[in-house]
Amino acid sequence: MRLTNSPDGYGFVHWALHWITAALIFWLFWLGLTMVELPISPQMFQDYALHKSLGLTVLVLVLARLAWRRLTGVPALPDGMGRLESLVATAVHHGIYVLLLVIPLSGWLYSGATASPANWFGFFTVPDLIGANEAVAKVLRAVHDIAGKLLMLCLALHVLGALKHHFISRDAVLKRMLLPRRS
Amino acid sequence: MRLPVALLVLLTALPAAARDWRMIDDESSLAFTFKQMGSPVTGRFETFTAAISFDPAAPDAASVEAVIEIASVDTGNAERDAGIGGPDWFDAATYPTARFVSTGFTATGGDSYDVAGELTIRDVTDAVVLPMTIAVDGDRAVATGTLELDRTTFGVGQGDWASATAVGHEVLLEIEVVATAED
Repeated sequence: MRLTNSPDGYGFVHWALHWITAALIFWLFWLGLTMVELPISPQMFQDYALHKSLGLTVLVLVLARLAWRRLTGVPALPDGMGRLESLVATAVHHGIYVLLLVIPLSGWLYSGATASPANWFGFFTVPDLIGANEAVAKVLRAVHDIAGKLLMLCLALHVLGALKHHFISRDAVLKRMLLPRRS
Repeated sequence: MRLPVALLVLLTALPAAARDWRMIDDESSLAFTFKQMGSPVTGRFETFTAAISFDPAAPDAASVEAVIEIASVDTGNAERDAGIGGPDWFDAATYPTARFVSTGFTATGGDSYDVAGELTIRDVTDAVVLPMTIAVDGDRAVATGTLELDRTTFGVGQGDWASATAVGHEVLLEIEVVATAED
């Protein structure tokens, strides 16, 4: 099993980062959408704390993946993609990365703005990036919500694109992310 | 002549009267820190009064009575502040104030004193000892001290909140009172 990426496939590290992040994003969406409906209660506090812990984890994993991309590159887009198709694919990929930074960062800032510091699974408290401020909290909440919805949209396009490559173009794009390269 | 002499003797035999002090609201603060999901949150009560009699030369005659407005709580989060005043926490509708009434000052060396007293929060009164530093400089006095409390002693946090899971039991009070002499 290879660790690094190459022009024709993803190595184990990128593959693992991709799928762990994907699983965490689903968990975060589910938590985020349900916890805001809860009345103020210990359960609500616990769900928020878990959401913050998972979100900080995604932030670290995304930064690690961006660093790994820089170090080992990413496979090229397959031959035969049109200019527009390539443009859309690249825009969606970049959009996902940007949103995966904007969403946790706005959440982290929101923790500071609402004077409810985040910690990582109870192990350590992360510093508040800003002080308590209700007006700023409102803006950050809107950014967090809208960016979350944009991420859902981008991920839908991402999945549709992968399925299109597999079933219509019949190329290796989906397969190379389903299984890391062996040699 | 007999009666006035007798009065004079009586007056001089009384313990030295303590000086009265007026708290300077803007310079005084009553802060508290507790843990919410393992991370420290600090708040303060913005409105409180303190009737203070104190003379370092006669600590036995000293007294203090402080009254704290529960509704003046500020933790940097309006939703949480409303919750703190709610029935499960301080129940400000029923118990709008908390109260500390001293029962005795004991000099412990230098500017240090143990201020014993009764603290009433909600409908619970508990004997506490505040280790305070009281520095008098002419007409100005600065009193500082900290006190660790267990919120469950006073029934603060009812029902599901009685558990320490979401909100810790320990609360650290930080008192700073700045006062000017009344005379």
